Amino acid sequence: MRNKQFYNRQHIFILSRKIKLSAVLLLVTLLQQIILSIQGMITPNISLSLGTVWSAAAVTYSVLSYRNNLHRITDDGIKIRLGIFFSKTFTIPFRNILTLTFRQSIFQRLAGAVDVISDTPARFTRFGDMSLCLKIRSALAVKKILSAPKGKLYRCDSVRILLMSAFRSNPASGLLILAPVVYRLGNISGFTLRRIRKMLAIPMTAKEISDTAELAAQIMVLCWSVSLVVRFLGYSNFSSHSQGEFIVSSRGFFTRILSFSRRSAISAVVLDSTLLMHLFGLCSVSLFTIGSEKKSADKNMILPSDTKSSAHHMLHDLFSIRGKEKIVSRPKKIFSYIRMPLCFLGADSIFLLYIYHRFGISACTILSLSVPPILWWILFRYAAYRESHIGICENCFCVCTFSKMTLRHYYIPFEKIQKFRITQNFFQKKSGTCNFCIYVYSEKKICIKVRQLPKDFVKNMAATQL
Amino acid sequence: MLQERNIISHKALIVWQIRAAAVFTLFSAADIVVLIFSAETAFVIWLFAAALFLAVRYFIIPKEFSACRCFVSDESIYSEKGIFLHKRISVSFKSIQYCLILRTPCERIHGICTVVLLCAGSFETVRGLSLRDAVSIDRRTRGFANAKQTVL
Repeated sequence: MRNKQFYNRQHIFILSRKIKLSAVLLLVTLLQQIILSIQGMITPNISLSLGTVWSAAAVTYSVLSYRNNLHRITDDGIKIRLGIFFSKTFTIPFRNILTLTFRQSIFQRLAGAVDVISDTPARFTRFGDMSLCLKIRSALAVKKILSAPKGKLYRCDSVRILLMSAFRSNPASGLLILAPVVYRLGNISGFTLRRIRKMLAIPMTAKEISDTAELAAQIMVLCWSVSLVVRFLGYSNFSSHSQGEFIVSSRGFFTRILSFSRRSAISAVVLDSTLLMHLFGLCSVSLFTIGSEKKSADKNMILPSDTKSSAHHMLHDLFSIRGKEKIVSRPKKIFSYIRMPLCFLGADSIFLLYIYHRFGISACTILSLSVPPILWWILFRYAAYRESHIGICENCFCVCTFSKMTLRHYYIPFEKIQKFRITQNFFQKKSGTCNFCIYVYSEKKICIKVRQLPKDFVKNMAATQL
Repeated sequence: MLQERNIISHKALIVWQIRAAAVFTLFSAADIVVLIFSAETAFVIWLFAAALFLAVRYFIIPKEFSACRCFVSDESIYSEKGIFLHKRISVSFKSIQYCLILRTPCERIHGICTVVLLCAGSFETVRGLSLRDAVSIDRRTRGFANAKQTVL
């Protein structure tokens, strides 16, 4: 452990990330100097000196931490030593790694570097147990240790990837339809936007529409298109397969991501669909493992936007989820599902009436933009009510519920259920309904909840099956 | 079976006392800012800090050191710590994911370290171990990790 010669440093590319922030800070200080000294507001040297000192300190710290961040890959784990004044030494055994991600941006590809991020049940930091920027040779050495015969490849075609990108690009895309028909928006937003439009020389293509409304619509179209392209590139080359005890997924065009998830660490398999996907009969498949909550929404996905029959076929092949789902119980009362959006709609309507009398039609037009999203929300909640249920398969427990604006269908192996909870408030006691929660194996307290189920069914099912 | 040897090093007492002295020195340096506004207030604050430092240095730290124990068996680690709130922890090697060995500059000079035992969803800290004992705990944890057939 004391021989530094057996340890390697990370790829020098990591310095660029740390120094980037210092360079930005220095640049901001310089710009501030130029602007304020022209206006004669401050003496130039003081803040520039402070900015320079800060940047120099940040660069020195980055270089020192790069020199002191060492690692060594052995047959049974990765040994890491880091820290300048306060040294940390630890070894992560490969046996305990549950998810391992290799990530390479286009700049890293040119430099020959790869980010390797690993996760264990220990949850050392909020972002993962280990994150190293390695040379490609070292990353391949790590990958080789996990190698095993590959299973069937599940590849997604470009049309489905494009659909997935469209579904996830911008939830407010419905506003695109309304913005061009909002009258007199320019009177409210003022002179500035009109000047911007003239500066950008955007041609007017619609009649009887205020300049500002059209500009707002064009900006939204541009933003949504950019978001769509970025998402499409993020999902391109999407494929997944099983490899020994791991489920492997790869994706990305500019930034390539290769993710290994240990099969034994999978707490649940989830079929996700937004409302639009649900209407088209499509869903995506994601894994719920240790560390899932550290990643953003779609990083655990192994199959984007496919038909439900293909998704079930994949579940059978990769996870041995057998048998048809037998639905045990569905929610009884729709009102608790649509209560919240109805309240918002009611409040919105009252506010509209109030400001119409005080401020006239112009202010109303802005507020009326909030009505379509609320109506979409009500529609989603109705779909969630229709789809929510609990069920049983041959070797797993099924829960269909919703989270934010996504329908989620969980398949949880019986051995991964930590506990379940049945709760009733005062009104539910009178009506004979309950809320059913299942806790799965996870770092944080993750609860999968279905509301307003009939209590007798749920109690009998819990007693016999769980 | 637990080994009879308490593996907490006697040098831990010296390091903790040095740490208390360093904190008191830093506080005294910060007290100079108060001195600019009021010498009497700064002096009173410094007196309180000095009294607290003496209490910690000569009473609390020795008590804390004598209450700290750590024993290692073939299958688990047993540790005790705390004066007012006394904790007894037993951690099995099988449930340790990996060990983290932390060393401050002062600990490095005196040849001791702090070991953090990371388990699924929680961690335990054992302070004042010698580096040799820390490395041996780390090796044993890895041995148990490699012997495991399944992770969960």
